[in-house]
Formats: sequence, C-alpha cells, structure tokens
Amino acid sequence: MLLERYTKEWSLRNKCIKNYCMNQQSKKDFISINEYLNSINEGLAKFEGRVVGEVIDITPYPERSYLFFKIKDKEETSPAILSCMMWKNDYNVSGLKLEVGLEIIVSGKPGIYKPLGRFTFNTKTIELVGEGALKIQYEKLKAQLEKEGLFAISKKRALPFLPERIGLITSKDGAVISDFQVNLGKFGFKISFIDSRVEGQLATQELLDSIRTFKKRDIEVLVLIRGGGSLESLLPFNNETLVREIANFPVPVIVGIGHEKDIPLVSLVADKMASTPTAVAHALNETWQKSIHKLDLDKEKMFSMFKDFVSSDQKNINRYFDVIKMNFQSIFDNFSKVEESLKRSLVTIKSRISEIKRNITEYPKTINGEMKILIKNVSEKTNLGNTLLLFKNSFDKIRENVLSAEKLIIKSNPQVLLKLGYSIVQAEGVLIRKINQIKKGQMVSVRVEDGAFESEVKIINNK
Amino acid sequence: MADKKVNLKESLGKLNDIVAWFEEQDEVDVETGLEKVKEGAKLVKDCKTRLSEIENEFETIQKQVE
Repeated sequence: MLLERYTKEWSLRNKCIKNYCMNQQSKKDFISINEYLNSINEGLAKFEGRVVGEVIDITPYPERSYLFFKIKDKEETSPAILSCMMWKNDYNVSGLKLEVGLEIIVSGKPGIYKPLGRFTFNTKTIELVGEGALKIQYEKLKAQLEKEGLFAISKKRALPFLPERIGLITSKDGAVISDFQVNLGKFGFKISFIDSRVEGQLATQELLDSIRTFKKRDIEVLVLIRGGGSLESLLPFNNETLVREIANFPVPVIVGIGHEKDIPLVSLVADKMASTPTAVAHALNETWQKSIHKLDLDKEKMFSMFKDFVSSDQKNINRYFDVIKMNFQSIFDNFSKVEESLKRSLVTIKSRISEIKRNITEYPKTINGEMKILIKNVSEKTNLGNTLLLFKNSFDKIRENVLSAEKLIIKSNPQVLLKLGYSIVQAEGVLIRKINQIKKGQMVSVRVEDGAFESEVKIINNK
Repeated sequence: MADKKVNLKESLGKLNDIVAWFEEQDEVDVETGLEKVKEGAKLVKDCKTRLSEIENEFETIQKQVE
C-alpha cells in the first residue's frame, strides 16, 4: 500500500518537473542545481514515513546543531541502508540515546542535503522498537532520575490551599477532559486549557511546548491528564526532557495518567499523581470541600470559643467582685471596731468631763472651806482685832490727805482764778510772770474767763 | 458594596484566620472578640450566598511553539 502510494506520488512529481521544464523552455532549457533540488525536495517531502532499522553508524558532531546516523535492515542478507540527519533539539526531545546495534523506528521525511548533494532522511523522532526495549529504557531512566532525587518525597510540594487558577494540558478529544470538568466542583475555578497531543511521537514536543507556555502564565497549579494506556502508548510521558521540565515547573503539578503496570515517569516526578482525571479533579476540590464543610463548624466553633471566653471573663468578674466585697467587708469590720473604740473613748471622755465638772463644782466649796479653816487658823494664831484697827486708822489718814489734795487742786485751778477776775498774760506764747519779760509797745495776749484779747504795753511800772 | 461579588477564597481564608485567632488567644478582649464574631458570621453568610451562584471559567489558550 505504502509502495503504491509512493509510486503514484513519484510519477506525479516527475510530471510536475517535466511541466516546469517545458514552461521554462521559452527562455532556457535548463535550471540550476539549487532550483532542481528544491523541486525534488518538495516532492520528496510527501514521502513522510516511519522506518525501522538497526543503528550502524553515528556521527554526533558535538559542536554542531545536528547529527548523522545510519540504519540498516536488521535481518537481511544484503541490507538496505538509510542515511539519517537529525537536529539536536529533536534528538534531545526524543529522550533516547543512540547506540550502534539499537533497533529503532525513525519518523520524518526524505530530502536531498544540498551542500553534499546526498539523499538524507530528515529524522524528526526516534523511538525504540518493542515493549522489551521500551521497558529497558524506562527502567534505566527511572533508576537514573531516582538516583538524582527527582522522585523524592521531600521534593513534593503541597497543592495550594483553595486553588483558583488552573493550567490544564490534555487532548480536547476524548472522555478525559469531560470527566475532569464534570468532577471539578463549582468553586470558581479559572481553567486555562491547552489542547495537546497525548500520544505518539509528536506528543512529546507538543507537551513540552504546552508546559513551557504555562510556565509564563499566572497559574497556581498545573494539571496534566490523559487516559490509560500501554507502556508504548505512554512513551511521551516517559520522556526525560518532559520529566525534567515538570520537575522544574514553578508551581505544583498534578499528573493524572491511567497506566497498566509501569507508572509513567512524569507521574513519579509530579507533586501529586493520580490515575484518573476524576481523581485529579477531586484533589483540586479537596481544600474547597473541606473549607465549605468547615463553614458551619467554624461558625459554631467561633461562637463556642467566644462564649467560653465571655464565660471565663464573667467568672473573673465574679471572682474580682468577691475580692472587692471581701476587702470592703474588711473595711466595714474595721470601721465597726473603730466605732466601738470611739464610743468607748467618748464614754471615757464624757465620764472624765463629768468628773472635771464635778470637781469644778466642788472646788469653790472646798476653797471656801479651806479659806475659812485657814482664816480660822490665822485668827487663832494672831490678834486679828488689833490688826484690823491699825488698818482702819491708816485708811482714814490716807482719805484725809486725798481730800486735802483735792481742795488744793480745786483752788489752784486757773479757770477758778480767771472766774475770780484774775487774767493770764502771754507774750509770744510765753506766760508773763515778771516785768522784765515784756517791753514797752510789745503786744501781749490777755486771757480772761470767757475769752482773750490783744493789748499793747504802754507803761511798765515796777513795784 | 452589596453588588460587589464576594471572593470565596478570600472569605474562606478570612474565616479561617478568625477561627485561628480565637484558637491562639489565652485571654480574649471581649470587644475585639465580639467584632471578630460579627465579621465571621457575615463571612459565613456571604460564602453560602456566593456558593449558590458561583461557576467555573474555562478558557482555551494556544501553546507557544519554540
């Protein structure tokens, strides 16, 4: 079938070239090598295919961006050989290390390598042949990555609490994506989806492109899902480059890939793995469901704790009140003691005052009595009659002297003398007693009983 | 404010913080505690309302080929 298709394509191609040459004949009957080879390559590009063979020669060209190798038919007496060219980028993505003797399938399209003019199979992907070889490659890579610690539990990151922004990679076809969506709870997830092949040799590159695209986007968790399959069908998910890309992804990755026996390496390296898309959806739902379930519990818990605290405060208040009450009672108790003491003191004071009052009342009587006793004692001891007589005589004499002095004072009163017609003469405020105190013509003041007048000395008579 | 959609994640987070706050306290200032309880009760109500109306959003984006 394939050969028939190739033959038809080839004859069609030849017809095209012939037509092209005919068209050019009006100008010239030839074309350049480059033009010719371009034409040939366009035609050869249609012969894309997958070819199986055993590696017989490898030219790695360490400094270049491509490598060459050859494969041959394995069990033929005169084996056919196919020269292959492969870009290093594609070689790395293939995750396979070429070794002489390895049986592989190359996928790509043929062409003429113009700088050398050589027929080359431009290889896009290489893969091992048979489950046995795949198993060996799987185990080898698994052991190597495990040794590097890529699958270590310590490297697993927890899924974010209440995730919202999800990056989803899977095929848009098939039941996987709908299973995932149906089981995803309605919690306001914002799902960014990239449609990618999940099987076949081209899947590896598409998956890598998808992961690298999400690396630049604002997501909280990356989800990679596909349905179950054999080791061979899950080949892209055992690709070393893909595994390392997931290991270095900036946010947690959940991988949900169904598998028969051997767990895909991308599942082993993921932060969380599941075997079905439903399980992945449940993992994303988990913290949301728990939180929502907790809503009422939290409400009850919050009220209960607050109630306990208030109750605790109430107990404290009661305790403080008791302490205050006790202290106040102590004050009242002390007050009563003081009051009693004060009352006792007042009684004592009252009693003392009464005593003093009584004493005061009694003292005059005592003094009187004592005086009488004293006078009696004195009278008894002295001649009181004589003493009193002497005292009376002295008193009478003093009284006579006082009366005599009174009379003298009355006689000597100038006012009396003035009344009798005497007058008092003063000159310049000085009382005139002698003639020599005045001069002729001098003004003198003369005072009489009822007033005074000024007089001029005109005549001075000596006695 | 009533029209503003409640962010479910934010509200659940806040409620979680309130419960954690109560759990951390040896002694609670009753006034502060009362405020927290009021806020928590409102968050519960808002979350339940939001849960009854919330939907997921689905957007297909193109992978960038390197």
